[in-house]
Formats: sequence, C-alpha cells, structure tokens
Amino acid sequence: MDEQKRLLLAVVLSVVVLVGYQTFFITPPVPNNQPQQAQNQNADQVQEKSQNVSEYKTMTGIVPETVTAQKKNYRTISISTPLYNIAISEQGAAVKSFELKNYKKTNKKDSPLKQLVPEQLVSGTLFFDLERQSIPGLKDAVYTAKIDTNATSVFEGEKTIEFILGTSNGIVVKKVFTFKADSYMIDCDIVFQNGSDMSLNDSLVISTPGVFDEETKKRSRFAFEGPVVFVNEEYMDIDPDDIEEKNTYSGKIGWSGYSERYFMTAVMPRLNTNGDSIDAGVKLFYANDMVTNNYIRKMDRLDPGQQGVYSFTFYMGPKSQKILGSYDNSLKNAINLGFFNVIAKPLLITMNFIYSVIPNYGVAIILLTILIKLIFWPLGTKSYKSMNEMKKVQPLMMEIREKYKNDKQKMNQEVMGLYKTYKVNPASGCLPLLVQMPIFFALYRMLYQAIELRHAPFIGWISDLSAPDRLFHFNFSIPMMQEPYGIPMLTLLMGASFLLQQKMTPTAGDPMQAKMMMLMPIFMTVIFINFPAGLVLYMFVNNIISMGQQYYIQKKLS
Amino acid sequence: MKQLLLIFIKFYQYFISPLTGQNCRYFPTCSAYTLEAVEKHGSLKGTALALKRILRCHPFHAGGFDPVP
Repeated sequence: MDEQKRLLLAVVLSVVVLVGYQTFFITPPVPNNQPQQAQNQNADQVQEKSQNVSEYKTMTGIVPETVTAQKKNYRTISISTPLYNIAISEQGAAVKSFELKNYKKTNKKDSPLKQLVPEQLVSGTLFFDLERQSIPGLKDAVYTAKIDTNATSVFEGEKTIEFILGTSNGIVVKKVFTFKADSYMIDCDIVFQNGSDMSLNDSLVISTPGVFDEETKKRSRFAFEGPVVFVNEEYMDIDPDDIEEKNTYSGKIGWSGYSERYFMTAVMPRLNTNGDSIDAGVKLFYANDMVTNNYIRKMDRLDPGQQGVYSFTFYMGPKSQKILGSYDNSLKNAINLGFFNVIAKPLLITMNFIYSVIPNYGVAIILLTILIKLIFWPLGTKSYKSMNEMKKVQPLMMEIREKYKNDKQKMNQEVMGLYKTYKVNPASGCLPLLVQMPIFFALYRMLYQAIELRHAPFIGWISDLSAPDRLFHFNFSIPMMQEPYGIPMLTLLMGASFLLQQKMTPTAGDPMQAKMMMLMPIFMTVIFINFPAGLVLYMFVNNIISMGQQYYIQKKLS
Repeated sequence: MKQLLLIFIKFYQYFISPLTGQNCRYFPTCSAYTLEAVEKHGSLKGTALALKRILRCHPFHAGGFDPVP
C-alpha cells in the first residue's frame, strides 16, 4: 500500500507541476510589431541576398498576348483530384469553389459535399494583390489559363496549371498552381516579370477571407472560427471583435488563414533554402460580416528585365490530426485544443490509436474513458473505502450534530475531530478533484473539436458523435433544446446515472447541501442537452464506471 | 490583487462548489482556508499556504481540523 501511495503521489505531483509550469512560467513570445526594417535595404544588397529575383530572358512564343483588365469573358477551370474538386476563376486567379470529396455537408445520405468557399465570398479566396497598387486592378484582373479545356483531373502524380496576366505597362504576372493527386497541399508560385521600364517595388498581399456573421459568432463561442495565424512558432486565433484594437501581427509567419470548427484555408510561404521562414506580417479586416486575413510579404525590388518568384503552399482541407500530422511542416499546429492543449493532444492521438484497432469512435471514446478512469483508480478506491467506513461512526456523528445544533463552527470542528480519531473521512479531497479538472476540460475541448467525430456513428440512433443525440425527430420545439428536436436519449441516461450515483453516496452534510446535490443531475442534463453525443457518452460511461467501482468496493468490504 | 482573489474564491464557493459536492477532508474547507489565509497573510503568503493545503487534501492524508496558522 505504501508503495502504491508513493507512486500515486508522484504521478499526481508531476501532473500538477507540469500543468502549473505550463500555466505560469511559459510566457508566449511577444510578436514583433515593428515594421520590418531589414527589408529596407538598397537594391544591390537585395540582389545579392535574394533567391527570389533573377534575370529572365523573353523568348518568343511564351509572351502572352496583352490582356486588358476589362476583358469580359473569362473561364472557370475545374480540377478534380481524389481528395477534392477545386474551381479557379480566370478573374483574379482566385479559388471560387472547393469541395471536399471525403467530407459531406451534413450527415444525410444525399448530402452535397462540404464546400469550403461560401457563396458570400464573391471574390473567392486565396487571391492576391499588391499592397501599394503598383499594378492597378490586379486583384480582379482577368488572367489567361494555359489550358484548353475547362475541366481536368489529377488522379496520379501532379499537374501544373499556369494563369498568366500581361499588363499594359509590360509587367507579366503569373500564378502557377501545382495540384497533387495524393495531397491537400497545393503549391502556388507567384511570378512577376518586369518588362516595363520602371522598377517594381511593392508588397505581395494574399487574402483568405471568411464569413463572420451573427450565426458564426454564436458558434465561435464554443469552438473557434475566424482568422488564424502561426507567428513566431506560436498559434494564434484572433477574435474578430479584437481586430479593431490590433489588426497587425508580424514576425516569422509560418502560415495564416481562416479556420472553421473542422476545416481551414491557409497560405503557407515555402521556406527558403536555409529553412528559415520569412519575416512577414498579417493584417486583418472585419466589416459587413466579413473577415479578411491578409498575408503581406515585402517583395524584393524588381528592376526592368528582372523576374521575381514567390513560392507558397496553399492548404484547404480538414483539421485532422492524422492528415496534418503527416505533413512535415508547421500546419499541424492548426489543431489547437485551447488552454489544455498539452493534455488534449495526447488524448486525441490515443483516441485515434484505439480507433485504428476498433474502427468505431463511440467504442474508442468508451475505451479512452476506461483508460483515464484506470489512472485514477486508486484514488477512487481509497475514497469509496472511507465512505464505507463512515457507517461505523454514523451514530457518534448524530450525537455531535444534536449536541452542537446551534454552533455550526463547533459542530464542524467536532466532526473533524471524530474523523481524525477514527481515521475515516467521507471526502476524497480537493487535490484529486483539482487534478482531474484539467483532464476533463481537455477532453471536453478535444471531443468538441475533433473532426474525427464529425459524422462518426456509434450505435442505434447515435449517427453523429459530434452532434447532440436525438431519438426521433419532432416538428415542435422543446425548451432549452436546440434544433433538431427529439428525445435526447443518451443525455437522459446520463442524467439518470448522476441521480443514481447521488443515491449511492451517503450525504454527510447538512440538509441544505443535500438538496443542492439533488439538483445536480437535472442541472447536468440541461447543460449537456445540446452538447455533442461524444461528450455525453464520455460523461455517461465515466459515471457508470464510478458506480461500478463504488459498488465493488462496498461489496468487498461488507 | 487581494480583492480579485477573494472575489474569485467567493464565486467558487457560491456557484461551483455546490455542484461538485462535499470534497474537502478538512475543516475549514480548502476554499474557506484560502479565503482566511489570504485575508490574514496577504495574497502571496496566503496563496502559498493554500497551495500547501490543497496538496495535503487527498485520500492518503487524514484530514481533520486544520486552521490557518
């Protein structure tokens, strides 16, 4: 027993130290808000240093016809891969539609595919411009796609499609996409060829806008939606309401983009050859229910006859640990499970591991719950034991209660003295509760945000562990309940388990507290009624195991 | 700082504690202990005392009557 005691203490203390250290001592790096002075070098230095700028030779045949920005007829090129369907418009060479083949919009059988570019985004997404408008009208200019057909597919290897724009002053702009059959990553080179007689000195702006209306705002309270940026090795999600106060973040931008609960669009500058990310910034705008996240990078000065190439990787897809974890870049940091990320990520990875053995996420949640419960098993056993021993001193306690009816302080003191003499104590203590709290919060966030649970069925009526559980569907509304309406079967079972647990536990406190405790099952049911079924399942299983443990100990001792 | 701590503890006592049930093995309870310790010894020493107390408050410790020093 003594050894077990020490082991447990060690575990508990290390968790406390870890959490405490994470909480109090790791201060996030302060993003550098100073303008990038290093960029203001003279042209010679830039030429020496930059890998992006080179001379280019104009060969006859590649020079595109000069298109005016007002060209009316433009095409939309559709590319289909095993993972997605993308549509890029010649206008602005922007992404106008992006459908994920492995994810549906809703859980219904005939649901359309999940679309990542909402209709409200008129200009699409991942379009670019120059900050000082050196090429007027560049954002909406009509490019020419170097492809004959309007639709193509990439089912193996990769395919490159060029969008070319010749401006009237002689500068040629190219946006070169490379699509890969086996990856969500889309490479994109932005090329400027300065055929004009003036040098081009400007900053590149790539935009990832998103719709942020009242409805999004409501959803965002539970699971963040909005602009995200990975700056100086730190993940940041930016509440659109804070943009008014601070709209610029600069430093080493790993990626920036717009995130939904489960999906994201991101632009990632490709690292230069020495592996460093480039000093850059993001600037955010929020107006008319629309948030725009602009990635801004200073370009090297481009003299006449020179060519500048800026390489990026675009990501449009799921925020899945498995997919993002398989890429060798910083994008995996986009899965951020909040304050207790350090605990939540291992839980997510463990859950995915269990799923790889038993492919049902409901079962995976149950097994994960059992695993967590096992870690805290000795704590439970110990406190249920002492709860049982309480029965012995019950008569003595009644006596004390009677004696000091009018002096609560004295009564409590006497009761505690009684516990001490008989070496019993009904409570498990504050520390176990405190230690389990972060794990619960981490689990809560993890189950709320894991895309793995999206449209993942368990058994029977639970066809989506990320949605509230509803048996049958009613047409009338039920108070406290969000749509859809139905019987929240699992949630009710969970409430019942709370009630049962309460009945099993002897209440040592005063009648007022006992009454409060009886309210808890109802309170919990109401709170959990709109929570994802996966979370309710965890709570339910957790209670069942606790009761089982309690019952087992009581049986063993009597 | 001190006021903030006290408000925080009172908030816990009124709204969170009733939901989690009776958990403390001591009298006064950890939260009451913290409240008193912070009032008596200031926020720094009070918090340190409270932390020590919470670390003592687990099933392998007897609990009992343990007033603020």
